[in-house]
Order: sequence, then structure tokens, then C-alpha cells
Amino acid sequence: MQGKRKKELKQSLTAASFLAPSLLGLILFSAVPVVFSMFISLTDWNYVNGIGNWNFVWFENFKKLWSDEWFRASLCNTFVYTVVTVPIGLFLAVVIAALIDQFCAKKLAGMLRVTMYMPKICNIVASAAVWTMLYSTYGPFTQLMKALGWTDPPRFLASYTWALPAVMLMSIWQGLGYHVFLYSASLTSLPKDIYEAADLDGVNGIQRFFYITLPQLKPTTFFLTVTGIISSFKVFGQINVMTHGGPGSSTYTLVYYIYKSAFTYYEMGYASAVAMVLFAILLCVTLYQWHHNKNND
Amino acid sequence: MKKRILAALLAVAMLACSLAACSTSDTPSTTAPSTTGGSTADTTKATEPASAEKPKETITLKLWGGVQPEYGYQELCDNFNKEYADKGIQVEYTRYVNDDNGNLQLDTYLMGGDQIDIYMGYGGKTRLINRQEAGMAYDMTDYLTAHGFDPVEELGAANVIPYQIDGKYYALPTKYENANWWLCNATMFKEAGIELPLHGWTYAEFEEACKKLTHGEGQDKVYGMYWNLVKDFNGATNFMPQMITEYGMYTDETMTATNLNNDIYKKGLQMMVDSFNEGWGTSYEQVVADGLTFDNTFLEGKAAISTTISNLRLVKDTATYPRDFETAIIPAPVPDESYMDNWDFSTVTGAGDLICVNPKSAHVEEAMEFVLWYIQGGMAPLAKGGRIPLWKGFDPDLVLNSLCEEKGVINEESVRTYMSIGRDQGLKSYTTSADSKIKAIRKEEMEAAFYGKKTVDQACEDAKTRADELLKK
Repeated sequence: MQGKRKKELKQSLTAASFLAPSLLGLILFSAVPVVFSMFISLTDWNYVNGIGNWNFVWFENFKKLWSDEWFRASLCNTFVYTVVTVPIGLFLAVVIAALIDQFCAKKLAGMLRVTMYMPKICNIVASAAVWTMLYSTYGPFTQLMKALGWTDPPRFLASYTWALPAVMLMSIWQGLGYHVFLYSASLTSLPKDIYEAADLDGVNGIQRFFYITLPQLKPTTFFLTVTGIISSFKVFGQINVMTHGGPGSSTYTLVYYIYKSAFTYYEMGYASAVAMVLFAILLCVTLYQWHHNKNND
Repeated sequence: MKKRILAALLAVAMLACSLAACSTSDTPSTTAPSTTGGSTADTTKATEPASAEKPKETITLKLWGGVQPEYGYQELCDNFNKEYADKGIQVEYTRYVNDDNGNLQLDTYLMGGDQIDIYMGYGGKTRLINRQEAGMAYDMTDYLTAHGFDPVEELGAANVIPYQIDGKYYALPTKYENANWWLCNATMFKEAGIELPLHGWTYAEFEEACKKLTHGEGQDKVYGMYWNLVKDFNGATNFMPQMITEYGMYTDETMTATNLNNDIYKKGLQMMVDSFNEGWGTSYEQVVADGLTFDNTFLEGKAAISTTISNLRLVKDTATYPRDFETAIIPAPVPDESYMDNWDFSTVTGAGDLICVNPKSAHVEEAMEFVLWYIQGGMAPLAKGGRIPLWKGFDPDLVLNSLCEEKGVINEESVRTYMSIGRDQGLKSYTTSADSKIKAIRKEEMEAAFYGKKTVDQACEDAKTRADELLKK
């Protein structure tokens, strides 16, 4: 009996020693900053003054948020960005994945998936810089629009109307490969007998896609929707490189505004209050995902 | 057994890696900005243990600045290292990029301790106040007094008083630069038969010249005016009158209201909007969308005039930017004849490049010695890179020769005029903690006017309303 306990203890210790580095990292670099951020959101802390040099303003930062035009614009733009990029990105991905699965030979399919995945592994700054050039007046994208009959296309990144959609397009392009990859993996694991039965019933391709494929991909779609929403709310790199939030505040997003408040205006307390709002939104999304997964289990 | 040992070793290694990543280091990380300065031998000397022949250990001062080493800092460090080799003081230069990220990096290093001894600060008094309040700037007052260096006398009251904090010196300006002077393509002016406006001009004269200088279409178009609005929005709009008034952006010394809606300011903004609409100036949209920079526009002969005089260092760099035209320094235009009294903008402070010492430095005395050496002649090599020393003891001819050493690059007469303008007046310094946000509001409202989303009047009024509300908070 004692030998068994000793063995269990040893196993637990081994497991704990493997978990320790990650756990330590999680505590130091995630949990502690979140708690610290919650704390300083109640202060007027300017980070250059060093730890401890703060005054408590309690919920003043949170009150100020709602009368702040930049915050309202950031929140609104982030919602629009999410509502547009997530569904469009997923829809395109599932269609492309289905087309590849249906019409491409194994080797070609693999090659296409890898090619589409490349933007995902490219550095966001590099990708954003390339897209900035594409969108310039004499850039290929603008020229393509002209060739397609748009006689006077706008300067996309410098337009109040078009800057956010231009960034959204770049983001959809960047995430597409990853989504296609996951959908492709799900598609290959779908049971073939349902399709065979559908074929016998004379179902056409579109019906197959909408009535068989899409419903069966529901778990993948749910997972990608949740992770997509979370990553969309965190959009920063492309905004910082392509538009700097402009023109005006037309491309301000929550994370970009957090960055501006903290490192341009030195208002770390206020930036943390904005971060707490973002945290609350993401927490809701994550809780919904947990709830959903629990119900499915 | 072997597996267990391997597992244990792996676990220990992972833990060690995690802890190592959290540990502090005396040396900057590999991602730190590029470092230059003393020769390799000099640097090595500084780290070697003291030998019997060399009782005093060599001190290597770490200097951080926002300018590339090749624009004079390398030579400056080499000169210092040579001159101070016997005294056992050396200096090593590290360049940081003078933008939000670069300044964040500098602040982080300064907060971290003594890894920086001396640094150059930019961005005016707002940033200086932040650093002073955070204990990142050494109070030089006593040292300067003890060494008989009176900044007011040596650098000019108008230049140093704006940077005093409670009457003390936490930084000293080192460079003379009046941002309301612009750069122009003197060759284009000559070819168009336009005289260089070295003694001032009005908006009307400026517009007429720009229209005459604008020609071509599409990618080959040459603009009369290049507004450097992306890289230097404030610099490009500094000529506007809120910068000329005594209290800067504010209406009076109480700093409870802004003057962003004053008439003179509206005239300047209207002139800019006209330049976009009439095509004789690069529009804001163009500059943003097409990535028009000083390098790819003015230096490539695609614009006759440009804002941002600090780009003089790029003008001097003919190796990177070869060209066949001469550049002149000219004053920005004034609204009309009634403002010609201040055509040279001599009432605008013309000092920059604030030299500061980190109070946490282990070598504050040596750092201060370097500061005085730098100001009183040491920074001469920077003149070759387009930075004009502020110290009154500098021989103007030496600066002139350094700037104009290569014939046909910079117009000598314009440099003479620029250097001859009075430096004894200047703005009083009025700064609040809301400065950065007020400038952001001003930028946003000006953008609205540039895009035609608001009239100039409306944009100016809205800027004032929003900024005043911010001040009330």
C-alpha cells in the first residue's frame, strides 16, 4: 500500500516538475499582469514615475471612458471589424476548403493549403507594409480596381470610409490560410457514408454543401468563431503599421487606443481601464465558449 | 531509470530557462539598439581588469541619442575617446529611434538603472517634465554653477529658460534649430526666376511661387510644396500662429483655455487646405496613401519646398541621397505684410536636442564633464551632419564651413541668414500634462479640415471646444 502511495507521489512530483515552468510563466506573465492592470486601472499612474507613485482615482477612469470620443470610436471600430472579418473570413475559408477537398488531387491540395497558410506565419509588420504598398495610388491593388472598371478608386488607407475596410481585407487574407487548414482537417474526417447516401438520393453539390458539410463542420466553425472574435478584438499590428488609427479616429481599435493612452499620453491607469473593458468582453466570449463546450460534453 | 534521469534533467533545464529569462542582465539584450562609439580596443580596455601600470579603471560612459552615428556622433565619440584616454573616460554611443517605441525603450532602460549615463531627449518640455518627475533627469544646476557655466549666458536666455523646471536645469538644449524655417530647392527657384525669400514672404507670395514651381502630372508631378504631415505633423504645422503667440497653444498663463480657434491660425490652415485643393501642395491624403516622405519627394526633386528643417542632416548626406540641386534654408511665410515684423520667427524658441544625465548613473561627475565638453565644442562634428551648435562660443564660420563644405549642396547665403537671426527672444514655456492630447485633438480636427469633412472655421472651433473641455477635466 505504501509502495503504491510512494509511486503515486513520485508520479505527481514528476508531473508537477514538468508543469512548473509553464505554470510559473502563466502566473508571472499572465495572472500577475492582469491583477496588476486591474489595480492600476483604479489609479492615475504614469509608468515613468515608477511603481508606487500613484494616486487612487477609484472608478474615475471608467467614468471618463464613456465621454471619451476616442474610446467610443475604438469600441465601435473594433465591433465593426469583428462583425465583418470573422463571418466573411470563415465563410470564404469553408468554401475554399470544400472546393479544395472536392476538386484537387491530394498533392495539389496539400500544396494549396501550405501556400495559403504562408501569410499566417509571416510577420504582421512585413505583411502590413506590403499591403500598404499594394493600396498606394500606383500600387497593384488600386490599379487592379481601375482595370476592373472602378474609374476613380479612393486612396484606400487615407480615406475615412475605406481605411477600415482596407485593413479588414488584409486581416481576412492573413487569417484565411489558418481557417482553411482547420476546415480541411475537419472535412477529411467527415464520415463518407452520409455523402454516399446523399448521392443515392440525388443531392446536388450545393445541397451537399449546405445541408451536409456545413452542419457537420459546426464544432470547427464554433471554435474558429470564438478564437476569431478574440483575435479580432486584439487587432493592433496592422493598424499601427498601416493607418496609425487614422484618418481621424476612423481606424482606432481598442488595443491601439490602449497603446496610445499608455505610451503616447503616459496614462497607464486610463489605458488599464480600457484594457479592463477589453478583458470583460473577451471574458464573456470565453465563458460562452466554456458553457457551450460543457453542454456538448 | 535512464528515462527518469532524462525526464528530471529536462524538467530542470526548462525551469532554468524560465528563470534565466526572468533574470536581469547588466548588458543590454541583443534586441537593444545598435551601439557605436569608441573603437573595439577602447571598449575592450574599459572592461579589462586594472593592471599594475594602469591603476585607474577606465570608465565607459553610455550615451544614447536619436541620430544615426554616421551623422557625426561616431566622430564625436572618437574625438572624446582620444582626448580623454589619459583621464580614463571613454564614451560609447547607442542610437535609439526617436518615436513612441524608441522613447519607451529609452524610458525602460532609464527606469531599469544605470545602463545609460547620458541621453539626448527630444519632443520638447512635455517629455522632459515626465522624465524629471520620474527621477530620470539629473539636476545639473549645482554642477554648472560650481564649474562656472551659466546656461543663460552661454546658450541664450530664450533657449534655456523654456526648458527650466522650477528654475533648475534638468536638461540643456544643445542644438539651434528654428522649426519655422523650411528647406527649398534653390536650383528650381533659380530656374523659375524666383528669388529666394531670405528676408521673409507672405502667404500670397508663397502661393504664387508654389503655383509657378508646380508642373507635370501623375508620378512625374513636381509640387511647389511638400507638407511632411506623416512623419512630422507638428513640425509641418508649426508655422501656424498659435506657435507665435506668447503662450503657445494657450490663451494665457492660467492655461485653462486654448487659442486653437484664433484667426491667424485659421488663415494658416486655410492656406494648407487651398494648397491641397489647388494641387500645388502634396495633399494629406497623398502623403498618407502614397507614403510620400522627405526622402522620396523633396530629395528626389519632386517638390520645391519642404517643411521639417531637421531633415538638413539628410540634405547633407549626398552619399545616400545623391542629387544635382542646391538646397536653401528659407523662412516659412507669414499671413500678410502686417506680420513681416516677425518674418524670421525669431520669437520662436530655436533650441533642441536636450542633453540629460541619468541620476542613477554611477558616473554622474564624468557624465557632466562630458556634457560640458559636448556643448562647448565637442559637438562640432554634428554640424557636418546638419546640426548647428547652440553654444555662443562656437565660431559661426566653422559651422558655416561644416554645413557648406561640399559645394552646391547647401546654399551658403541662406545658411548665413538663418544663423544671423536673433536668438535672444523666444516663447515663454507653457506646458500642461494635457499637451499631448491637445495636440492629438488639433491633429484630428485639422485632418477633418484637410479632408473637407469640416470647414476650416468649424475644425478650429471644434478643436478649441474639445481641447478646452479636456483642460477642464
